[in-house]
Amino acid sequence: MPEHTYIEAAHQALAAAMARDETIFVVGEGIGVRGGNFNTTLGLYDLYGPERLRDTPISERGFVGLCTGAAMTGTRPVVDFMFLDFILDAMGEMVNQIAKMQYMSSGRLRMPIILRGCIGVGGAAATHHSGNYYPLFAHLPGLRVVLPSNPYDAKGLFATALQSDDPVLFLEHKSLLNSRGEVPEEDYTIPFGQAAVPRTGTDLTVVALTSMVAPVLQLAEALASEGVSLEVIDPRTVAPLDVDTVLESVHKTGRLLIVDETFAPCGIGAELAAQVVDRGFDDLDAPVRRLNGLQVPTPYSAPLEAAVAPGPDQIAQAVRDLLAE
Amino acid sequence: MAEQIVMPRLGWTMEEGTLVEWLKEAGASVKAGDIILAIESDKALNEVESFASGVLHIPDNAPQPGDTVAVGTVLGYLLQPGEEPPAAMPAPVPDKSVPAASPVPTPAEASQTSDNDKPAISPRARRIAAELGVDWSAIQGSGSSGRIIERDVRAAAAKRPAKSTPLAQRLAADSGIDLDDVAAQKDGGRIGRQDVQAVQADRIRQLVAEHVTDSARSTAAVTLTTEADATELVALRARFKEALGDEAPTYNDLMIKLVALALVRHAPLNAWWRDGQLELQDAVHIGMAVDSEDGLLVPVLRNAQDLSLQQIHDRARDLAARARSRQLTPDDLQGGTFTLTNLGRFNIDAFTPIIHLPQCAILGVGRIHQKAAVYEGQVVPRSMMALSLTFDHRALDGAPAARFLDQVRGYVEQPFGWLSRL
Repeated sequence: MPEHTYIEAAHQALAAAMARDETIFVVGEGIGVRGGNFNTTLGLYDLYGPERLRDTPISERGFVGLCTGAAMTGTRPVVDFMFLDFILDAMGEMVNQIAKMQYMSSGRLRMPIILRGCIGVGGAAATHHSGNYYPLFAHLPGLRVVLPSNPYDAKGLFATALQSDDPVLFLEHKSLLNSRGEVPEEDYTIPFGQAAVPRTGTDLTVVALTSMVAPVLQLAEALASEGVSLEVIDPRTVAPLDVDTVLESVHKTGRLLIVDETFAPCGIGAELAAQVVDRGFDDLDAPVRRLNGLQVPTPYSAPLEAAVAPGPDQIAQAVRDLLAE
Repeated sequence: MAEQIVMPRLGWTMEEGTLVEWLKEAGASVKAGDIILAIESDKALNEVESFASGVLHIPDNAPQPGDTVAVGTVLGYLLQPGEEPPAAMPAPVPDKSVPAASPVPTPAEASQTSDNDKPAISPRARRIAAELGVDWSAIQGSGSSGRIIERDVRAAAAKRPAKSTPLAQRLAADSGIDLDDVAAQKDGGRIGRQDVQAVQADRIRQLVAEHVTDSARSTAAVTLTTEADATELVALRARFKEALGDEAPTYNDLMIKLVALALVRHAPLNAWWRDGQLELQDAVHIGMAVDSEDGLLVPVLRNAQDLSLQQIHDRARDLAARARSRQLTPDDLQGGTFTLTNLGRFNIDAFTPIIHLPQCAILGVGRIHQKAAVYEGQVVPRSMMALSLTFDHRALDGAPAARFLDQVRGYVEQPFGWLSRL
């Protein structure tokens, strides 16, 4: 199977969908001739021109509002934010219109819009280019929130997003964009709300989100030689959130650690912990633990930046601590 | 409104209980807090206290003492003055939450009944304990704060005896053997009667070992031997045999009787030596050494001085049979004041038996066999019997012991003298 980067994998899904479905178009800054700051639309302008690869000025609320209206008419806009932090400028459009329109129209209108952008800490990008935000979006009714952690999932989940009649936030962690992995040439979709279990184990369940999946898998490999068996779960989407898979795993292991780069309060880990304690109480052999990044604006300084996100050593320590409970 | 008294649920796993006895009479006035009945759960005997006051009414068709009934079964009612008893007994209501009465812990378990005293346990460990039927209240937890976690429960479950047959359980309970110990000597599987008996045999061997070592170390044992002319006793036994067949007293029965009579006349031999004091015993309780499959057992035949030969025969036979079929109770083995041990059937003459503490003496009876003896000036064949008396010189001196042994010899030689006193 050929290897591709994460960006290339998502690009394959987009290119294939655009070839099939002419209602799909992309809007954003530098996504036209330039092919996207992160090469998200590379080469597509040559195929489909400015009608479907529409560069915009720096006017997030304006072009998000434009795409909201376009989606209501039955087209499929893909808004490419480059850095997702700038979606905050379009928060009113997103929360009050995109997320609520299907409900307000009693289902007469669809909202097939994709809002994509990179998220996460890394690359000394400073606090305006390092946000994660997905707990915010997962909190609201009406939005799908997708967090691919590898090239294979990026292609399959993006393909699903491109067929969705609900608005989708497609969030690509900066540190993953150039990661490589096997990606089938043919088209495929991965359903939302179905967690992946990239490693099965018996001693402890680790739920890892987006960029945390890879270091957790590496740790699991290292710990296996010590006789410690970790089960690793990647939810892949946090809205909907596949709690059942986590519960099944905890039924087996009795221990749950959630590793998430973004802030702990009111986060995905808090939600998972609450649901597992509620529905899986009698399976728990130890407290549910979370390992999160520090709740601070992300520093520009590289050493400080490294200090705010969970690193391999901290993950290993958290696993050992929980195993010792 | 008549208050129901129901079989309470006294533990997670309790589904039924046995009504052992009412501790209040039907018609008695009961106050809240009074102990009203005793029940037996799968774990223990419990006394149950009443939550309400009233007059105890036990319907005719209520469960009887000894009956095992489901939790929630109505056992009786508390009626208010002037109140008519309910017409019919209701079916048991599986009430899991609120028992109509609360158990009062027996003193032995009082220390561990408070929920606050119970160790912390993870929800998972508690679930698994319930699934495996493990009582976790005494488990030592290995979680970071001492919390009981899954592995502790599984370890406890693994150590716990496998299933056991009801017969094995009863045997173990009767003989004070812990089924855990039985399981420890077994490679898994269901514990049966034989497994308990194997442990029982080991236990008896150990006890015998401790006992004789203790005696050998602490007593100042002196053995006197003499030879009695048992010709008359042999003749007497032959007459009994002719007359009574299998019901005839055995030599052992005869020896028990005549030794008991001799002990009545020689008090220092029928005594216990305890804490440096000689405690004379009024009744003669003869310990009779029995060679059982499990080893030496010494059941006690009580009040031998007052029993007829027939009674001694019956009781001795019963004790020996129960010793061999492992059905002796602890009571059967306690309280002896003197011991008789007979190795005659193995052709032993004299020996030095070991005193059964705190008793002061033990008589060893040797074989009866024909010897050339001087009788009325003639050398003739006579049936001779060796007697060995071991006594504790701390408790008494040689002369009283010798006088006693000589008395026994006299009774053996002239049984008609003491027979007249029966």
